[in-house]
Amino acid sequence: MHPTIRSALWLLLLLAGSPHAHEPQTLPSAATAATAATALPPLAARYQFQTGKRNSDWYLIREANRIVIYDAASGQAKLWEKDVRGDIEFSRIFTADRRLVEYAPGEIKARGPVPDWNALASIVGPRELAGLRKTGERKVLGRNAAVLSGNTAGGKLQVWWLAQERLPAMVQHGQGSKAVRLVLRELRSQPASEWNWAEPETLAAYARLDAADLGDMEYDPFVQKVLHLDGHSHSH
Amino acid sequence: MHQLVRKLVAASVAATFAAGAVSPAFADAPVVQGPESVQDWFDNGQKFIADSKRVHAHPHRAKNVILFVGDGMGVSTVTAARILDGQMKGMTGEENRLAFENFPYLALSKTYSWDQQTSDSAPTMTAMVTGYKAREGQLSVNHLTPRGECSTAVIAANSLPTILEQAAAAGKSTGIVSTARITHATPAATYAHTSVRDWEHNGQVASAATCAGVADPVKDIARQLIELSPAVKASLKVALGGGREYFRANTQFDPENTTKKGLRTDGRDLTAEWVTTRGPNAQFVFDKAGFDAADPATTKHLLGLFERSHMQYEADRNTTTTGEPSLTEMTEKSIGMLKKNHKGFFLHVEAGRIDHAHHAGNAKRALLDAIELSKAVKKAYEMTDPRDTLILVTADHSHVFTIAGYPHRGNDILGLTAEVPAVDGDSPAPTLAGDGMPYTTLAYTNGPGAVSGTRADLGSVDTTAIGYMQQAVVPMGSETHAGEDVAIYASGPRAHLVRGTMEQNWIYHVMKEAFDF
Repeated sequence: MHPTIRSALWLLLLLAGSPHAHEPQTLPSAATAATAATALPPLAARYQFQTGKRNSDWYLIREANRIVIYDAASGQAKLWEKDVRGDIEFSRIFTADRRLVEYAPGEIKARGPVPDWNALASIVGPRELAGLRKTGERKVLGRNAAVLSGNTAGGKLQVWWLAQERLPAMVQHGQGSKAVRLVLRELRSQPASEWNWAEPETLAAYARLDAADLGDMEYDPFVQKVLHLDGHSHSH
Repeated sequence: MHQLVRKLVAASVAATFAAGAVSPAFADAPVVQGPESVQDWFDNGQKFIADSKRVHAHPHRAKNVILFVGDGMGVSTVTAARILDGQMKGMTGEENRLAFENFPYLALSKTYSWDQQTSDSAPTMTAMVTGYKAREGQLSVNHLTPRGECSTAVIAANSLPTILEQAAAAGKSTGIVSTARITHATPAATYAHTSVRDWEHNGQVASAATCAGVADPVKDIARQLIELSPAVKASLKVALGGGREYFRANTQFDPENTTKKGLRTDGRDLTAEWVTTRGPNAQFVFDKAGFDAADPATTKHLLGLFERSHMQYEADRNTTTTGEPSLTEMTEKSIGMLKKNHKGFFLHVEAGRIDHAHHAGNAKRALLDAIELSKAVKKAYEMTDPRDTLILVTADHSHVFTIAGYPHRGNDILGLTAEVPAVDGDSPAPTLAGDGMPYTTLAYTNGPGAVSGTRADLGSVDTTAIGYMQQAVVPMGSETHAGEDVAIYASGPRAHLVRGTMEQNWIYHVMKEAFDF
């Protein structure tokens, strides 16, 4: 596999937050306790996703019970919500198709490990951060960021970490022209009004599908697209 | 030793072994052992024959009929659920029986539809409740119905009467229970008629390409449940399941998940209409507290929709008052309501999520839902009289779910396959496949558990965990149905008509004959 493609896939996997992605996984107990004890400040961030000659906007909206990730290149969003019982629900939003697929808590559990909320909300999870070494500091958007470096499965990783926001200002996987980077361009306390891909008013007009029903609809091209995104390969 | 003495000693040893009194003194005891004595095998066989001689057909008609469907509950699912249920009770498992496995009559059901070798839930349930095989994705309409047919007139002309409708016409009470959405294919086939199983709320009909410009489009399935014919509306005393958002408008917040709204675009609240159109003592409930408070003695019409979409897997069900009832509890309350009618009743109960768990490649959730179905059948059997109630338990189709290898007796059904040791006294160890790695007894032919590249060493993986996804061969986003026959278990009046290898639509004819329709 081409190194650039491998890096892009690794970074996308890190950012994926699929209903049964193995990143972020269930954390070791110490890390879980540490992340659970620290409340994440709400914010809205716009990143630039850079790979080769491709640049596209990538967004994170973080609230107490809601996380939205939007990839402008694909026009797809991911919505993670905590329900009244604290269980995690997940939705894939397809803005071009005006459709969304909902994964109930039981469906998420049936498909694999339940994602760690704090890891989802921080982009780079504690497991990855724990493997990096601080090599410096720098200023990003007027904020102090720790420069962290190290190696992960698939290559070199560098993160500029904003400790107060619990968010990376930059994530780079790989090196040189083959590197894949996520660079923070805008940080807000609340999302801009046009960052409404996952707002109830927007989604009210979308056709809704329960992920539990996908298995009975494999003839549908849209469902085939969703199943492809959900993936099928597991290392065990 | 004298030859005669030698023979006497050997005979004595053999007799001792046959009685199961002692293991051979000259060999290590097998580490893997069944609990049976030598004589138990023979005695059990003789008991089976004695019991069989006492089985006699009940030729008279049935007052009540209950049709249980385990969606996707193929024979391998039944076998694995049986073993898991037994192991959960501390047994080796293989000798266990699910409740319906004690029924006296058994047949195989051929599940192909008019146009599918391996079917989906729509034509299969249509076959079971109408007596006719049908087309992929269509509910209770004949196979002449075009795909996507939207005209009410055409649907009406091609509609097939269901056993529920016929029971209603005969003055019996009727009920529907499912852990899936109550508008999902299996329960919907009992009361709705449509060419597209996905047309569960009005928005799905309105947005369908085949409905563009149609002056009188067919009613969506949720609406058909509310706007039944007068006889069926009066007879349908209880409908319990999931799918609340299909009945409520997109301007209404959900009563449980108050940040979510309904799906209907016609502004209608069908849950409220159930109450206003069913007369006094009609209720709509949405959680365990409401369900528990509904008194079968006084409630005349009960609609319970306990989730916005499908109900929870039994493994995940919230059992508190803010949660939802089990399949067994829903079955119990339904029978409590229906048996008030001296003319009898028809009840359909579906374990709707065995299928979903298999599609997700998650065997343990599927098996636990199958075990819950067994408990519901046991409850139904206890609440009714086998002399007047025909109970059928079957599946609509199977799944590509396998029980593989040569695991020893009592091997954890969810664990790694470990064979009987070659030498008595040795402990079993996981069997290694051709790649040198252990493998689980349970697996799927296809689905999301497919392995890319080298298989990991499962020796360090807890394959018995609730969320473990069994390995599969062919990579697919969702595991598929399977085409082999499924079983039909029968008890009660005219249950003897369930025999041999049957076409799936003959199940309806058994019920029709049992009711004397």
